[in-house]
Amino acid sequence: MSLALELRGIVKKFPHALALDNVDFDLRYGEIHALLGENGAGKTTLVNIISGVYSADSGEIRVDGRRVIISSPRDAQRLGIVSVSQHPILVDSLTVFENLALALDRNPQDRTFMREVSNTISRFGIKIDLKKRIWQLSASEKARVEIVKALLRDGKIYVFDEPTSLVGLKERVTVLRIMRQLRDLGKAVLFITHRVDEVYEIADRVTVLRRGRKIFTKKVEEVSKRDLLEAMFGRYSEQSIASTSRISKPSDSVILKVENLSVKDDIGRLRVKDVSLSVHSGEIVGVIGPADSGQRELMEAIARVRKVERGRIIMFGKDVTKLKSNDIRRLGVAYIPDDRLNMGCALSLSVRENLVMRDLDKYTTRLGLYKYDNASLCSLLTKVGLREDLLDVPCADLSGGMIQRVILAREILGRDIKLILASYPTQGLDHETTKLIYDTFTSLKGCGCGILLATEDVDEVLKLCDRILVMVNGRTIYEADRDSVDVEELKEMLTY
Amino acid sequence: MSPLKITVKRRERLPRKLKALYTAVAILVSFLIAAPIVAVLGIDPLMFYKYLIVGSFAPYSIPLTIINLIPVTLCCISAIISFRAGLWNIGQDGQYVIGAIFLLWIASLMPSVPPPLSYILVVLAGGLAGGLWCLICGVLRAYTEANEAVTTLMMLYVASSILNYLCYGPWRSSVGFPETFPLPQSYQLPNIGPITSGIIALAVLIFIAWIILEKTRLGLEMSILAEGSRVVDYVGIRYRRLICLVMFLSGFYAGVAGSLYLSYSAKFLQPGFIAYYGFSGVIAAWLCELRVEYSVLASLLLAALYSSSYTMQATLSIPSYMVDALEGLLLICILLVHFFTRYRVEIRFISTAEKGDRK
Ligand SMILES: Nc1ncnc2c1ncn2[C@@H]1O[C@H](COP(=O)(O)OP(=O)(O)OP(=O)(O)O)[C@@H](O)[C@H]1O
Ligand SMILES: [Mg+2]
Repeated sequence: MSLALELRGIVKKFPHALALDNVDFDLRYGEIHALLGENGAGKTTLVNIISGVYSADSGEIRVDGRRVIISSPRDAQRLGIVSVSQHPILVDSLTVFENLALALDRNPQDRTFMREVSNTISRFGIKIDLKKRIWQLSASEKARVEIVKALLRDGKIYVFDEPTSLVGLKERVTVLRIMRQLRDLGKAVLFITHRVDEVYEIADRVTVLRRGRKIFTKKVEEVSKRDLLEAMFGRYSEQSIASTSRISKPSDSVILKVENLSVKDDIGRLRVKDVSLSVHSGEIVGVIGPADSGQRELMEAIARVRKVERGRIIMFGKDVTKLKSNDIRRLGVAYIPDDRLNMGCALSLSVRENLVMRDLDKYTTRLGLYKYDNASLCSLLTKVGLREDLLDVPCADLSGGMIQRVILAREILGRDIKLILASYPTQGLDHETTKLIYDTFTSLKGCGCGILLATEDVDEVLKLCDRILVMVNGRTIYEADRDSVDVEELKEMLTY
Repeated sequence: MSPLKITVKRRERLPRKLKALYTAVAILVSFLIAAPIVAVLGIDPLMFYKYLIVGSFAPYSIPLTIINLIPVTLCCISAIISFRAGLWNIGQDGQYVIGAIFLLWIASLMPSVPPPLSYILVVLAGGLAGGLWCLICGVLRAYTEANEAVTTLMMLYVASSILNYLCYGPWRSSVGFPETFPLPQSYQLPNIGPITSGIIALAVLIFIAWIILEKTRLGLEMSILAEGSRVVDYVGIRYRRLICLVMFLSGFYAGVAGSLYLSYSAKFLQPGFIAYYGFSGVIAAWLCELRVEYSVLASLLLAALYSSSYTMQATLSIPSYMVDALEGLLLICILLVHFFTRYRVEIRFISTAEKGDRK
């Protein structure tokens, strides 16, 4: 197998971080190479350098053995490097096909282009309606459009940055299959992840980054899970989450009761239809379902950031249907939104301001001035594994996982909470932080806190939850205690 | 398909020092571009530059520069307040006029209020009137989503018509010119030596704005408001109220600019009272990157242009619009720097070969 891409001594420094410190890396044709690392290890930065979004401070890049300079995404495309972006950029009012034509600079009237697109779609087995307009699509359908776009570019080197962390179970299978197909066509595939299991599932070789340094590159057969985790985090800790949550039994007191709730999405379609559920104190309830079944809207409505069309929400015996999100926060409710970039944080504000912004009452003196207790904010940061000197850094400069940690620190640490509404809380988080969340959840549960968890991760639900609800097309179609859940049946419902 | 392909791409953020350097370069470049234009008018560019400096910073010009500095800085802060919250109040000149009109009215009703109190009234009357004037646009924005950039600008023309009406109509003094009666003596801010005491009011108002923006909850809520509606809902800010408050504050500063100027310099109103300090303030706001602590510095540059334009008109008979043109050049250069420090533009020719294989 010949070398497709070679990086030598890549250095990239940001004002607050040395994101890449002398990294060597190579990628061959006909392989899937996984790039693994904890949050903030420098994975996305490396991808950005390969795809021309950033340029490296020093170091050299070779493609097919020839030294190249990649100073823009266009340069990268010309060299046959195609990256699948995590956040699709699409024009809402145009159809899928028109968007594809726009992205590839082709004429939408062009018959040959039409044929190319349908060939590609059928060759890779992607289900998508080319005539639908983008605003009619769900998030995972948009992700599919993004993949089709990349496939049409017909490159030699494909880069996928965490393609599996945002899409649902079914999409994940599709993405992994497409990567395999690309490899079998002799393409070079670079796959960014922080899920160790996925490395074994699909990759041929794996490179581990930690704090901007490369730890090693190895063949997947030759490396144990333990080695990988140790390389990622510099230490090894057993995944000890399994059944801790069973220690305490849920009590009888209901802290959250949702009655016949109906909610619309942003474009006015009814997305949650007549849903009722309840969460007891000391209980973790999981809402799971295929992507875009309405879990997002359900959680947003309960968290009081989305309008309720019909129905009631009762927390601690109080009707909160008309309250705002900061009112229920005062009652002791924490909310981890899934849309962390647009809702979860204010990107241009500093980490400090993001940590205090939901408790402005607490941080304001009688004169309206705000006062920070820096020591306690620092301790919040260290608890989620972030450096204290990040306090003054704008959130926009943090990696995706680091932002999620800031949100966690603000929502569930350092205050009294009785109810947690968590939407995809471990999305994009590495193993250590996921474990931190699970541990925090279970210990809070032990103290009588109730948790409503929306997720697409079956293992997460089975590990954490006392009760499981399955939501499909805006309705709850299944409800069971964990012990009585039929796992196979559950998985089937999710990939229906 | 055009053979020329232009793409615009986001850049990495630049260090602050480098940005300051670029801003300085922008100022220089706009001054250099002015040279050939002046030359076309038959004036020696070197003389132009000389008077530009002498006309504003020579010892005898400094009081004049300060007279202009006060309203420009206040309008600059007015712009900063609204821009920081992602609201676009660009009608400072209208609020400025309304502030002055209201002060003149109040003063004519109570001409005998004694000095320390009357000086406070100068600030409060102007601020209140300007604030309420701007609040109209705030309410429209908050409750009907009418674009505030458009409404504030339109309200400027309303304000200017009211001014004309008063000057030609009910408030016209007997002299015959379209001017109003003068502001009562006790409302006229005195000079301290050669310099107006309005500078003290300016210092206090800058400090208050800085506290509000950098140290209070309100300032933080304003920055969150600028981040978009999703995070605003999440934080639970009552955004309608906040929009109204921000627009009131922004109008307050522009209104004070008008009433102060009336009080220490103009003394009476006339149709030419609008000196477009508001637009200069908006330019200054971009120049100082929306930071109150640098607002005086940025405004000083624009105020200097005002005072040198007087001098140049008198000595070189350079038309005053030359200085307006320079101001415009300055804005364009600053905006270009803003743009190019954030985005990279690539221009590429599509070769015929490439076009061929697309077909
Ligand atoms: N545009 C930027 N400006 C400043 N610092 C940045 C920027 N982008 C990334 N960084 C910093 O570089 C480091 C590496 O970030 P990167 O996004 O590459 O991490 P990652 O490995 O992709 O993490 P994650 O798993 O959380 O996505 C982080 O410390 C981050 O704060
Ligand atoms: Mg990343």
